[in-house]
Amino acid sequence: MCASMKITVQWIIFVVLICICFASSIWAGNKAMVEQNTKELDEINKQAVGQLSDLPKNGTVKIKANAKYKEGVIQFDVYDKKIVSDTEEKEIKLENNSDLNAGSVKEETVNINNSNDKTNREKQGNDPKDN
Amino acid sequence: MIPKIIKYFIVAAVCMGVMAHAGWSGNKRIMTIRAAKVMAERAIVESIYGLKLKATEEVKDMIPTSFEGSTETKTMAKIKGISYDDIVYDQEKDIAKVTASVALDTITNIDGKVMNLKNKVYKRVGFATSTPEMAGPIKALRSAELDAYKQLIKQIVGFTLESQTKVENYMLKSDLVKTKVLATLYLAEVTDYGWDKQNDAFVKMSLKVSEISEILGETIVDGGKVIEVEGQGAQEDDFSAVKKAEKKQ
Repeated sequence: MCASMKITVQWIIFVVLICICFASSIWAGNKAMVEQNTKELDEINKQAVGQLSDLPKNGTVKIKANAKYKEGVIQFDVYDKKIVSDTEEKEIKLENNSDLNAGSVKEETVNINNSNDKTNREKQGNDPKDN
Repeated sequence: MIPKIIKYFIVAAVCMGVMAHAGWSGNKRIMTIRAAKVMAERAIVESIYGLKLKATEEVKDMIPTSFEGSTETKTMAKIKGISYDDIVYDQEKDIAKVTASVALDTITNIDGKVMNLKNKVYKRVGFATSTPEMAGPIKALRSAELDAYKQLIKQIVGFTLESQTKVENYMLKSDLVKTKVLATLYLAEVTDYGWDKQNDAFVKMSLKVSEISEILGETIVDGGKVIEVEGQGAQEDDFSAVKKAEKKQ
């Protein structure tokens, strides 16, 4: 095979590969529509969660919201939210350890950890019955 | 040698076969046109009387193959005086297109509200076929129509969002997102429809809020607005193929 033929074949392979890469984006079918929908759902959710003022550094956020369009912008009315912070859990564990050293009941401290409720923690910590 | 009677019998059978075929094609044409008329009638009912739409969408970990979406519509009404202005039948493709129109003074809509339509002419187009192989473009158009209805409801009534999101170093990472739409819609008008080069269908719909306000005799917030949406529908289900391939892996 002469040199010019080789170059021609290389060019053809290159062009075919480029065509395959770009053609996938314009193929018909519902796949592209689903991908677009998935992106939109992700953006909507990030927008809704991003509006929350008490987002933790690390954790899980569960929300339920009514969404309405106003002048092209979605406005969220969050009517239910549960925020579980990973760092908060770690802090509580340390407290538990100190409680354990003091001879407190193990099961109770685990319950406090799961509930993540500050008032509960304070109540149980100051409970005169424990003393 | 074949006896004469048998020869006559064969000739008669062939003739009957040919004639019967001609009769079938005529029946097919009528059936297809009739179906298109029903489709156009449904579109008119959906436009004027209204429809109830329920739609859900769910995606996990932002992976498109986990996407689950469904849209259901319901409507039922008696409307008198529908006329068919334009009936076109493509014999080669066995597809019929019918334009139906109606002009009513008043009507009680799906929400039980009396609407003063003042004899305005409402027009809608219906397509149908009796050949299953030719149903692809028509199905795509219907799904584009439903998508447009859903988008209109999302814009007007809104939707509910349920999600569970992981936050890592203040970065949001969607885990599970669900949206739900449940509402009634009426007086939506189709402004344009068709199929693009990839054979995917599109339906453009609009809703004039000021007109609805006038028809219902109620003041609506954002009354001067015209809401326009474009629904999409695909002929080819390449998404299911990808989903199956991923499950096998």
